[in-house]
Amino acid sequence: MNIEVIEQAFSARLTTNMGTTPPPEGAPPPLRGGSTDDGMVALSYILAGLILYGGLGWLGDHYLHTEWLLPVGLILGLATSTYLIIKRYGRLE
Amino acid sequence: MNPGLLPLEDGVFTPPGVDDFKFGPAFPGGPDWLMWVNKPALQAVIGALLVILLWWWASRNLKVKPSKGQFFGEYVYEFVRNGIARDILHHDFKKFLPYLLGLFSFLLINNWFGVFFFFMYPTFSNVGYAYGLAFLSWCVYVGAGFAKFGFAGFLRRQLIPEGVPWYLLPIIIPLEFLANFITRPVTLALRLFANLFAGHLVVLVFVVGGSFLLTYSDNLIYNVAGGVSLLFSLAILFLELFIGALQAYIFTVLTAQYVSTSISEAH
Repeated sequence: MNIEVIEQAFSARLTTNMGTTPPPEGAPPPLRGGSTDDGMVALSYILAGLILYGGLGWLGDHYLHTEWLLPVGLILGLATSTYLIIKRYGRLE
Repeated sequence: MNPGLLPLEDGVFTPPGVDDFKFGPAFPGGPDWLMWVNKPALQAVIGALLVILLWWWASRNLKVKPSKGQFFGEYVYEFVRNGIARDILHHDFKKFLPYLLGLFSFLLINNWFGVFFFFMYPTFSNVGYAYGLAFLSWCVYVGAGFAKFGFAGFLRRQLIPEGVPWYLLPIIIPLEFLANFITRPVTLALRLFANLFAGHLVVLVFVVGGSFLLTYSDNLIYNVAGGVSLLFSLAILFLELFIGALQAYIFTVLTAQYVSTSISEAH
């Protein structure tokens, strides 16, 4: 999985200070290699969008006796989720 | 000889299912106040005691030239400290390291209970325990955000992303609330629970079905199939060993990630 993490754990053990030196102040934070982690965080957005707007659509269908609100809600929710994910994580360094 | 191709469907055999994950009181006939204690509860307590005992034992008598035990303890500690906490939380990692380390070792021990003799049941294949742990992580990352930015400041940071035009905010804010405060801990818990539940169920299918076939009378083919199935269950158990470690790692990494998103200065 995340080779960098394992490598870092190894190399920290093998240096003389055993990894106790803090990273230098003011240095830019190291870029995270774990794109899988971000993917799992993004999952909650996708689910939230589908549940919230799909659910609202389902409720609307249920009480207004229509049939088109649920698909519209699902699509709207997915679109909003995607928009949010791009806003939160889509910035290039 | 049974003409059926599927001896498991003739009603004699009950396939493993959800009922195998339900336990009665661990001390039947004991006093009333002990009746709520069942096997998972007992395992969780034993797991917590083991975590305390192992880290107490690993942190005493430290030498400059480490023994094998000390090397192993330091290796696990630094894996969490450098590989998870410092990598994700950067400068603020020290405050959260004790929680992350405790979380990782508690999860690892409880997941490996599913593979080890005597226990043979992963505690977190019981969904309530997974929800409990996810709630604890939720308290930590929400609490860290409130402590750093104050109530209103933290909510504003979490609910209003930068660069979103005002007319989209009524659509965005409820979604952000749901995503950050509700589906996050729920997915955290369900990911852990589902992996361990499914893994344990697969082991049960191979072991229970295999031993049923192995002891089936007057049918050599069934016996051989049962034997192979039992042998294969060992491979599944090794897979479970890996998945238990992987899920403990993922749960800890995601907790650290959530803490990092709630205390980071800029999104």
